Amino acid sequence: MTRRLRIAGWLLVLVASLLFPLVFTNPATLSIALVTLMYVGLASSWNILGGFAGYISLGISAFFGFGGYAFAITLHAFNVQAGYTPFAWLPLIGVLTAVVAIPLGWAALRTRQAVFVTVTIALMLVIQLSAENLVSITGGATGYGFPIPNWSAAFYYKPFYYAMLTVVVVSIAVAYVVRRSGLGLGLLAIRDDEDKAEAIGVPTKSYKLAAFVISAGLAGMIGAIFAYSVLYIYPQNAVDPLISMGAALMAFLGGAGTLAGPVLGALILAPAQTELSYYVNGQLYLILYGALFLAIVRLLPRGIIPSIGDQLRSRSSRHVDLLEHDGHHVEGRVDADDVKVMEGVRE
Amino acid sequence: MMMSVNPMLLELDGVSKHYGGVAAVDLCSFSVAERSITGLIGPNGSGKTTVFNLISGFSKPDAGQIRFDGKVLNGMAPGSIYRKGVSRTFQMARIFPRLTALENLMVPVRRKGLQGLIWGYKGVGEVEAAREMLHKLSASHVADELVGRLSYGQRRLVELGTLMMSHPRMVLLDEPAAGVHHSVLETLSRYILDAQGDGVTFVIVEHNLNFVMDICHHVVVLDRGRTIAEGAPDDIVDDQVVVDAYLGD
Amino acid sequence: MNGGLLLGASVLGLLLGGIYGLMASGLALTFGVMRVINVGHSALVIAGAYMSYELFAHLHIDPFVSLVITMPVMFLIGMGLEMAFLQHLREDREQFSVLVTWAIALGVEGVLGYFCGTDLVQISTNYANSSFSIGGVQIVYIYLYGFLLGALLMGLLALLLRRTTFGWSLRATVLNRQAAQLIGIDVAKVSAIAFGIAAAMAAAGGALYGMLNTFNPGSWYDLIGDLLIIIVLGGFSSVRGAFIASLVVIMFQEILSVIISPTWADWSFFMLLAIVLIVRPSGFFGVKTREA
Repeated sequence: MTRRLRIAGWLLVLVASLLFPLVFTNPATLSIALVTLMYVGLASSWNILGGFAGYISLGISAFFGFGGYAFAITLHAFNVQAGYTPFAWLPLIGVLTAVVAIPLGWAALRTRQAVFVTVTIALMLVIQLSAENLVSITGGATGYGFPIPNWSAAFYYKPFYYAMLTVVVVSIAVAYVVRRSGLGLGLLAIRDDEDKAEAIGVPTKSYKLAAFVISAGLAGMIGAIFAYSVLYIYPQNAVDPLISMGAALMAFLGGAGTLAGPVLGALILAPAQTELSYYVNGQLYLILYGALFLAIVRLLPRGIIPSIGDQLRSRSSRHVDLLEHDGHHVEGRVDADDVKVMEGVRE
Repeated sequence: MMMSVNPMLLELDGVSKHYGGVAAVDLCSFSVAERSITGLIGPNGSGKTTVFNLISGFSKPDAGQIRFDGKVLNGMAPGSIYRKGVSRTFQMARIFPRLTALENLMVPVRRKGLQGLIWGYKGVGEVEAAREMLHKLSASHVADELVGRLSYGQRRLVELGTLMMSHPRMVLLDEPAAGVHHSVLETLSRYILDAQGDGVTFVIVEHNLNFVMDICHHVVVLDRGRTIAEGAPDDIVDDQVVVDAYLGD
Repeated sequence: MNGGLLLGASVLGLLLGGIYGLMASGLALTFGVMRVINVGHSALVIAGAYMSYELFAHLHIDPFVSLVITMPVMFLIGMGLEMAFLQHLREDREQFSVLVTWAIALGVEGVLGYFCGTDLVQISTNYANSSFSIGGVQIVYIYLYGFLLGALLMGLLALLLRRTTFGWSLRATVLNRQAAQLIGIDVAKVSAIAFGIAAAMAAAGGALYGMLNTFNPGSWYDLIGDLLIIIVLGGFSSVRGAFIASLVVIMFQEILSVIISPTWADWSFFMLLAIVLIVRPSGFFGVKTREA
């Protein structure tokens, strides 16, 4: 894809998202659109750590939930009136979540791979446990309410939709800036070979922590808007493992590590899973969701965008795909390619 | 010839490393002159790669001292040793397979401050420097290919180019010629000689004795973790001890 | 502080720790052999609990006796799942395995809910609450039987690993998958069998879990956090480490619930995890965690 085509694609999606609530005014449709946007944002912010650095987190709903609680408590503490003013507090929630993520990320990132994934699951559980047990702060199992805006049912989702869209655009922009920066290059190097990256002077620890914290801050803001839109936050809707898994799965479906992948994955999967949950009962939903999940990992392990990229590349290039599965060459292999290359140089 | 002129950049003094009860490196001592190309040869299992691991900090010596530019390296982390100007390659070329060749070369570029971190890495002369490096390695045409798709020889070139981007003072090459086509080998020799002319010191572990004898000024022979001979390439080939070590006992 | 209470809590913790060890060891085994983090392991435990429950409720087979049915069945199910969903994983095996096994867990939860309903149930044998007293400490029989069963199965597993050709292949695979392949071990077969063994251990753990707790298909989610933390503490791929870590963690939890409060005891897993991450990320009780 050329650069101009790519920009046009992004603009098209943005304009379509801006116009969506004006065309589809049905509140039920808008509520699905809101959840879809939420997943676009979550998958994109998940991608900054999980996709770029290859550190798969299954605990993003820890920060999603933390942001929700922080929002509810802040609004209550400062006696913020219902309506539009709460949205002005969102940046603060993002910063707060990011600050909390610093020590957590520092501890979690002392591990790698499998252990890291496990620790992020534990992180999610510990936030949920805190929400349940710190009753005086969080309201325990009963939860915490938001000030209720007096918007009409027809209008209700629009402010949330546009607030969510703003945060989503910020998330994608942040991911874009990171991807093009020295930080992003370092993260990609960490994904490919962390020891080597460290050995040639990439400050791996700070880079990973930066990615963790950025990703957490964005998730915190997204969680805050979501919690406000449902007006009530309690441990089960705040810290939902299905949200963590959903964000990761959507990023994988579209292509982890690419900018457009998580967006595409979420646009496909989020409405599908919401629709599905309307039509089948809870048990069947779980079975179908699990099956879908398995199918994606099985059929498209590297995601839609990279697979398309491969198709384009293999057409334009004569280089054979040598590294796909094992990541290593056998030493002493005859280098037929080198001959071609040297011939190319002489020409 | 170089040895008498230049001060010693790297000195190993009675260095030992044991794995379990086995001595991989046993009281090994040798020196590398600044701006020289030194070959480190010896039969399989003679401890050559272990010596590299010890110098570059990937493992810690049990005894002895390793000095670089007069400073003791023992016990330093690989990252710190790298920052002192010592770089190494690996037997299996270690590159970043899902980055392009150009991106690989830009990974080690140091960026200062927040601006350097946030600013796009494709600006400020980095790309030009990286392209220049690829050109020197005759690899310009693969600049935008994912390195994971390149052939083994090309990966070795990218690996070397990545190291050279941070202007090391000394480079350790671990079997650069193994499994590499002779045309790439020519590029490699030419590049090493050029860089040495610009002041870089090389230490090369290699089985391909022709390659070693062609480009090295000085050769150190290891056997069972000890230095059994050293000298100019021509002297080494005639050395009976070396011949015995290679032919086995 | 009441010394008798403390002793009671320690004994209870030890017995319960043995039961958890039974569940956690399977998790460590699958990671060690296959480099697969089976987050669905606790779903297999719950599946085992439901099998025992149904056999007990409808056919009145004692849950300890029905293990001769449930363990082989779960062994086969485990092998089937491994061959169907995990064997083909190559790239980034460790991380992808989490996604795959999570999906399996959701599927298992859905299937259990579909056939058994989502009401909370418990395997209530007539000896469920009988206990005896020794040295002032009240011991519920089920806990003791559970611990003994756990110790027995762990002993058999140790014998299998240490004394048989299969065990030798399995340990070689744990040490180095690729090298094992090179010396002619059928790694695929070893992996499938290891997953089957882990599933059978989960079935036994499930029978005990079902006698000690009320459960429903969603209970796997309550359990998995505890089990994962236990194996992190145990050094991840060490079966022995996982067993020892279970004993330590559960005892710590029981003692904490007596000397401070049960609410605090809920935090004990996370506190220990935090300490381990800060002090020694490679785990306390096992071999060094493989890094990178």
